[in-house]
Amino acid sequence: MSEKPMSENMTDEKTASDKTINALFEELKKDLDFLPDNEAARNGFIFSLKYMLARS
Amino acid sequence: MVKTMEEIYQERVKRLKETVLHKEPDIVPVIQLAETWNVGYAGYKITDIENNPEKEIDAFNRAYEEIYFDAGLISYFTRNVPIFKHLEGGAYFYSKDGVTIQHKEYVQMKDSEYPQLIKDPMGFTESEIFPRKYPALNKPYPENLEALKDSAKLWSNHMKTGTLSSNYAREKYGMPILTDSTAMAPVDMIMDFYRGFQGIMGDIRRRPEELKEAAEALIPMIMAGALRGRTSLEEFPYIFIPLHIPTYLRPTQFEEIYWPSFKKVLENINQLGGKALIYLEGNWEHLYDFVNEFPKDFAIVLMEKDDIFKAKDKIGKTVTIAGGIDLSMLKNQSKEKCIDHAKRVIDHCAPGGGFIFTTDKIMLTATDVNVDNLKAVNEFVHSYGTYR
Repeated sequence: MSEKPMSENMTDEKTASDKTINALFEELKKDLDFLPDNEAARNGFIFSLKYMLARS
Repeated sequence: MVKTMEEIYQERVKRLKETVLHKEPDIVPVIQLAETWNVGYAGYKITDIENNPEKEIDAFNRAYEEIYFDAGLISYFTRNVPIFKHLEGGAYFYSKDGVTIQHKEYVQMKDSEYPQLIKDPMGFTESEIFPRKYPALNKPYPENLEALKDSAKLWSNHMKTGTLSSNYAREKYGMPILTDSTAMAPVDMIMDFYRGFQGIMGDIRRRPEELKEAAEALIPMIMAGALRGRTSLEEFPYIFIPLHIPTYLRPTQFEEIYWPSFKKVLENINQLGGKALIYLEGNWEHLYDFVNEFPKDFAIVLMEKDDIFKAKDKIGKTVTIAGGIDLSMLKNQSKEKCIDHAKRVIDHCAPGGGFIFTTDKIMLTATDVNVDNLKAVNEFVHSYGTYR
């Protein structure tokens, strides 16, 4: 296991992207053709994805 | 009459359920603690099988063909590393030899950001932590969206593989898989994915109130992750909870900082009808008073460095003790010595139920154990550890 004391990406700058991360996830939620056309199922999948990314 | 695989599956689940309730089952259950070891055992490297569900399912089930187990910990990789490759970040990566998944320590949150984490844990994580952790999200639109889409597809396939593999284990080998979701102790989550080890040790001294508030704030997110859309839980399979930092904490620090939010996670799972498989990483002997405050007959605790004989005496009436043999013994000692040791463990720990035989650590590489010893010990426990 290697250690990195501080992330190189940890700065006070906001992201350079021209869409917020939240907007990206909202767009993703509408685009995913492998999910059923059901708001609850899509919300559940997006939460599981975000939670996995938070824990990785 | 020959039993069907479903009958064998139900028999094994019953065996586990009874021992967790501190009733004596028919036989001491033997469980497999392994992740990437399965891949090596089946003759693969991780890179041979990544994003190949058929090979992944084959790898994670091969050992059941030849070695006795009553259940397996998991049925697929706990992490799908290609997801992080698309996003160009994350803590997990393959070892250079391609046989294990490793992680590096990340410090993604500044200590001054606790108020934001407390106010909106997922919102803060999404807007501030993700762009730091996953550089692909900072690419110009729509490149960043495409990276996210690729990751989402892999995540969906990953979850499907897990379900398929669990079903395969049940149908082909009558093998229960112990866990289908994971929870965390909130303070561990802050250490692992926000502040790092050094950061959190400093926060315990300098920012205890903020740390405690943040831990409380994370509970709903952790519970939603464990529930996966369910509104109640079953007695089986278990919610897996690996615990990381307590071995480094003094009892007073544990009581003040770690325990309040962790206890709520346990109580929530218990109230919803679930049970937990808790990995007590390191040595927990100094914290046994708290383990005895876990809900009774609620948890299986995997013991890594504790003296299992002492643990059985001190906490064995509250929780089910799981352990019994070190990987190093299985690797380096003779078969006879391993079996002698297993016999002593069963003689002491099995009476009264509340005991499961397994290894002290999760097996990761094919060389972690001498497979002949593992086979012999598991067969011995399965035949010697009878109650009736």
